[in-house]
Amino acid sequence: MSPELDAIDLRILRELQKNADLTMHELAQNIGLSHTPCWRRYNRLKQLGVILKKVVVVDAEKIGKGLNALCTVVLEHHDEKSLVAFEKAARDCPQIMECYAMAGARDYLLRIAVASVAEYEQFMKQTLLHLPGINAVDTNFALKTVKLSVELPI
Amino acid sequence: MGVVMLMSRAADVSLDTTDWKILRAIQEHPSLAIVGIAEKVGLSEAPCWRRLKRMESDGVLRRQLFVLNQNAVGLNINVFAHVRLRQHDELTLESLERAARDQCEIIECFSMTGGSDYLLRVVVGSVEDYERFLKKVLLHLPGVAAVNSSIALKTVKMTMNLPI
Repeated sequence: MSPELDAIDLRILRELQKNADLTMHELAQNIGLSHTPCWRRYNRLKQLGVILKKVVVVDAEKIGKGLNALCTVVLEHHDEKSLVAFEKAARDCPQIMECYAMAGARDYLLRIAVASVAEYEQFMKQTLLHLPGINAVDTNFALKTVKLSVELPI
Repeated sequence: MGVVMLMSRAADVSLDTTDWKILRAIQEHPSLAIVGIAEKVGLSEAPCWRRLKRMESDGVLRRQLFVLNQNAVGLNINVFAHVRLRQHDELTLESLERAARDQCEIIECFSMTGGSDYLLRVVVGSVEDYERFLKKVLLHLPGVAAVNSSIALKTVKMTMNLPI
């Protein structure tokens, strides 16, 4: 664990991960702190960038983006400029939900949210294959999302 | 007046253009109060609130979540584990999926087409921690025959904002 977090910080983070709707009062109560020190710790964790943000989860299935394509990408060149250009394009592309630079034979792993296989085919042809420096894409589809969480094991 | 009604795959939910605007606004500005969202989409507060409530009860809007910085809590390593199962009967699949849901280090799990049955994202503090997790946990999950692990060097992007 990072040195600047103590046991109480971790308990606060766990509570927040479990329930993002808690009021500061409830949070303090669950941790066993009074309101002000709890609030101070919460603010410190935000300032340190430990708590990044609160997000609202939209149901992918319900809005017709329930199909996940997991694809690995190999670039043509591996100089810094190519990597930076590809990563910037990946960040800017709204269909790409996750992108990791990987060790091993494939350069990047992407998760792409689409409505259907047909939509993915369009996306691949019109967007993905045009991202800077792409040499090859290998796609597999998720048959089912068993788990998709942001809750970290702390 | 032409109102575009887009039916999503879940046939019971229909969203009009204003709903989509609300969803976009709320994804982009998750901490905004209802007044703020209403303003962004050009509604007054009450009808905006009603739409939000409707989308909540339809299950379109699910809960709010805090996103923490993985590195700041010492979880520096993302491993993608491609899992193959020994057998593919329903019982084995269900036990594996339940185990994956219960295991807090596994934060994503997809059942896959292609060469491996499941793809997992495992979050750990170090490569040593992963080695331990692999040996002590992953290889013992129900039905697991083989695990092929690739380590991420860097998270380029991780978002919950859907492309809408």
